[in-house]
Amino acid sequence: MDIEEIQKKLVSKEASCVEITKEYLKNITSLNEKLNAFITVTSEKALSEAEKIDNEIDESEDLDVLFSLKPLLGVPMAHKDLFSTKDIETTAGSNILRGYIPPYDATAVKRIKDAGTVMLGKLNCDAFAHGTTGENSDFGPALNPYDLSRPAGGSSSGSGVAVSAEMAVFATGTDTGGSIRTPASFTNVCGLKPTYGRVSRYGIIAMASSLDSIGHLTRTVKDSARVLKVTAGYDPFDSTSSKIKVPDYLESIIGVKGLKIGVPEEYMGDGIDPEVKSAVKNALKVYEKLGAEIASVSLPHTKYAIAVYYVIVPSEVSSNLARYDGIRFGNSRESFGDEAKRRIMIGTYALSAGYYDAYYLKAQKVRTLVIQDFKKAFEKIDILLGPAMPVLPPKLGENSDDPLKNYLLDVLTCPVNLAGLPALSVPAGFSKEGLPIGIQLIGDHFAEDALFRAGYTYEQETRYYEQKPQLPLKGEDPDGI
Amino acid sequence: MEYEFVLGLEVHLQLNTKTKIFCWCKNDPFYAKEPNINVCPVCLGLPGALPVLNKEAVNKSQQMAAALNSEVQGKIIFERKNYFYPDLPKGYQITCPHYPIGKAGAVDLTYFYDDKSSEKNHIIRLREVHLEEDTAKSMHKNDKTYIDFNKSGVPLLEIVSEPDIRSVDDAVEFCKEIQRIARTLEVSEADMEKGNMRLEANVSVRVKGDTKLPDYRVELKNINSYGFMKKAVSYELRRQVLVLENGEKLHQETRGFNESTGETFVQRSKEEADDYRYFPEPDIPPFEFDLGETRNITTLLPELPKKMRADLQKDGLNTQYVNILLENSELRRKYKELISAGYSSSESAKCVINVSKYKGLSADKIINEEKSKSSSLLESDNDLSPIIDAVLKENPEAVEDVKKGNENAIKFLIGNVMRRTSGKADPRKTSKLIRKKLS
Repeated sequence: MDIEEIQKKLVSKEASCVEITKEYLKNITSLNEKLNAFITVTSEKALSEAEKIDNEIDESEDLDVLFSLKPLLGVPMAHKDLFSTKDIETTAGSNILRGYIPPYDATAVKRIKDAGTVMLGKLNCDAFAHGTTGENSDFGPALNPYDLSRPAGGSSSGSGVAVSAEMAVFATGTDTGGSIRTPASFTNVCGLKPTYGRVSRYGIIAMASSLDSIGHLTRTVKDSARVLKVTAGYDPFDSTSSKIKVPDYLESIIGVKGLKIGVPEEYMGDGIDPEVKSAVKNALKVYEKLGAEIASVSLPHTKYAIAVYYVIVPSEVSSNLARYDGIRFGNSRESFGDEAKRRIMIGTYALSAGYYDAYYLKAQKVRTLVIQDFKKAFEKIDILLGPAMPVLPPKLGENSDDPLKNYLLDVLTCPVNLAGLPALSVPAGFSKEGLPIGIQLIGDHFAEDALFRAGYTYEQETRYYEQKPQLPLKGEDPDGI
Repeated sequence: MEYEFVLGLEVHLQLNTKTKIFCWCKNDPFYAKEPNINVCPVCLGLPGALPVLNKEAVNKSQQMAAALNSEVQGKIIFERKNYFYPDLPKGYQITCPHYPIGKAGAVDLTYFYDDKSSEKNHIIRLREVHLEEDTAKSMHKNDKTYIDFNKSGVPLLEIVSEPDIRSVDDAVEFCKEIQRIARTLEVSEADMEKGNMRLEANVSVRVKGDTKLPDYRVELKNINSYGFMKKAVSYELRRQVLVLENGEKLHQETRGFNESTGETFVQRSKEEADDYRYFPEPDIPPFEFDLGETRNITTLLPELPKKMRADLQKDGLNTQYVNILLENSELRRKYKELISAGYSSSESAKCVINVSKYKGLSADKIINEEKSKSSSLLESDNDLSPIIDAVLKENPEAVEDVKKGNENAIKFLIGNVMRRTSGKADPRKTSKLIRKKLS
C-alpha cells in the first residue's frame, strides 16, 4: 500500500491504524528472519502509537484539518539504524554502538513522528553506512527479496528490503555515495537522495559530513514527495541545512513535455552491464514518447570521482569515528569492523602532515572540477538520466576479497554526492533473471520538484513499482523457517 | 657571552558568553551547582550531534581582536584539530587557527615604562587571535578519573604572540594588558585563579645581538599564575643558557614545572609530537563578513587601557596611582565622578586610593573603606541645603550660566560648596541639589 491508500482506508474506516500496523508487523514477523531487514522491531510502541492515532481520528471533528496538520498520519514506517531515536537502541549497524540508547531524536525522526507516522523499528545497514551491498553490517547482510542469494544493496539495505517486501510503507535512509539509490535500484523501490542541506543531518550518525544526504525509500514517487515535504526545511540545529523554501511537490507532479533530459556519455560506457544499459535505453524511449527531449552530454571528470570520493570520505570518516574511543559507548575499539578500520587508516594517512596537500587538498580541487561538469551540463538540460548502478545485484560474498571492486560500484552514484545534487532512483524493469534494475534522475540543486515530475510521469507510464517479490522468496529453503 | 630571551606567549581566555560556543547550554563552568548539568548531545559529543556557531562568541572575539590592533578577518573557517584525550568527547577540537578571527596585531607595552630612555623595545607583535571550544574537565579521585562536561564547549579565545618578548617583566605585563583589555571590553573575567585565563609559553634563548630565531623552542604548558610563569620561565632561561654554555644543543620539547623543586622537567619530546590532521570542519560553513562590518567593530570599541592610562597621566597622577586606577574599573569610575564633581585630580585619586591608609589592601577592600568613609560625608538635604543656598546667593553670575546650560558653572558652584564644607559635602548629592534648586 502507498500512503494515499492507507489514509483512504483510515478515513473511510475500512481499516483502523491498529489493524494496518498489525498487518505490517505480521509481515515483519514472517519475513524478517529470512531477509534480516530489521535490527530492532518496536511492536509494542508501534501498536500503542497506532491506538492513539485511531483515537485521534475518532475524536477529530474535521479530518481534512487533521490530515493536513499531520500529512503522514497513520503510516507505518521504519528508520535506518543511523537515525538517533530517543530511548530506542541505535547501533549504526555496528557492534561498537550495540546497546547505545540515544537521549534525543534526530530532527528528521522528530518531523516524521510529528507528521503522525507509526514507527515499526530500526533497519539494518552497513556499519556506519560504509558499504555498497549491505554486507558490511555487523548484524549480517539484509538479503534481496528478489533473490536470497544476493544482498539487498547498501548501505541503506534494510530500508530497501523493508519497503520492497512490504514490511514498512516507507523507510528513511542516508546517501553519501549512493546508499539510498543502490538498495532502491536493487529492490525495485523508489529512492530519493535530496540536495545536500535540504534535510537536516542533526541526530543522524555521520559518515562523511560534507556528503551525507538524508533521504528515504518509498514504493512510489508520490510517496517520496510526500515524505520530503515533511522532512525538508531549515533546522537551526544544522548549520548546513538550507533556508530555501520547501515547495509543494505534489502540485505539478505530472508531465515531461519539453523537458530536456541529458544522458551523460560516461554513464553509458564500458563496464555497464548490457541489461542495465538496455533498461536505460528503454526508459529514454518512454520519455521521448512522452514528449521529452533527449540529448547526449559529457561529464568528463566522472572517471576521477571514485578516487576523489575515496579520499574525502575516509578522511572525514577517520575524524567522525574518533568519538567511538572505547571509553564512552560500552564497547572496545576492537569491535570496529574491517571496513571501518580500513577507512580510519586510509583517512588518517590522507590527512597526515606531509600528505594532506597531495591527497585531501588535491581531492577537494578535483571535486570542484566534478561540480563544474554538472554546472555546465545544467546550463543546457533540465535533468540527467543514467543507470543508478552499473551492475545487477551481485552474489553474496562476490566482492568480499576485494574491497576495491565494491568501491568501484559507486562510480555512477558518488559524483552526485560530490556535487551535492539531488537524485531519484526509480524502478526501470527487470533483468532476464528477474532482478530489479533502477535508473537515476539527477537534478540541479534544490530541483527535487523536477525529479519528482520526471519520475512520476515515467512511473505511471511503466508501473514497474506494482511488481512485488514473489512468495516463497527465490532461494528460500522450502523446508525452512 | 650574553644571552637574551626569545619568548612567545599563548593566552587562552574563556569568553563570558551566555551560552556555549556550539550549543545552547549555559556557559557557566565555575558556578554550576553540580557536574554535568549544563550539557546536551552537542557538548557531550553524542553520535549525530552537530555544532552551531554562537554569534555572540564571534562578536566578542572580534572586539578583542580589534582592541589588540589585530586585523579583523573577513572570513573565518573552522577546522578540526584531531587528537585523543578523555576530556575531548568528539576526538577533535573545533578551532580556527588558519582562518582566524584576527591576524597580526600588537600589544604596545612601552607606555608602562616611564623610563623612555630605555632602548628596549616593548612592542609585542601578535601572530593571530583565534576562537575555539574548551574541553571538558578531568578530575582524578581514588584512582578514578571523573569528567565534568560543564566546561566542554565554553568559547575559548587564543591570543598568540610572536616570539618578541625579551624579559620576564614584559611577559607579565603582556598578559596583564590582555587581562585589562578583556575586562574593559567585558568579554572575559580573565581570572587566572579560576582558570578562565590560561597561559602557555614558548621559551628559547639566543646570543644577544643575534637576529635569527633559534631552531628550537621549549613549550611550557598549563601556567596558572604570574608567579608560576615568572619562576618557570626564569628557570628555563638559566637552564637553557647553561646547556648552551656547555656547548650542547637544545631540542624542541614540552616541559612541565614542578613547583616544589622549582625546576622544569621534560613532558614530551619532538619525536612524540602530535600530528593534528587539521581539515576544514564540514559541519560549519565558512563565515564571511564585509569590510563595513569588520570596520565597525573597531569604531565601536570603548575606551581602552592605553588611552585611559594616557588620560590619567595627563591628569598629573603618579605611576602608582595610575596603575591602581587602571586595574580597577570600580575605582576608576569613582575617581571620574569625583573629578566631575569638582575635585582636583590629586584630591580625587587620594580620596579613592588613600595610599598611606590602604597600602596593601585589595581593591575590593579599598572600595569598602571608601563606602564607609563616604557615609561620614554631608549628604542629608537638611545639612547641605542652607550651605548651597548661601553659595548660590553669592554667585549670581554662575547661577545664570547654569541656567543657560553651562556645565562648567555647575562644577564651579560644587567646588564652592566643597570649600565651605572642607570637602565634606557629598559631591553627587550636591550636584543634584543645585540642579534641583535651579530648575
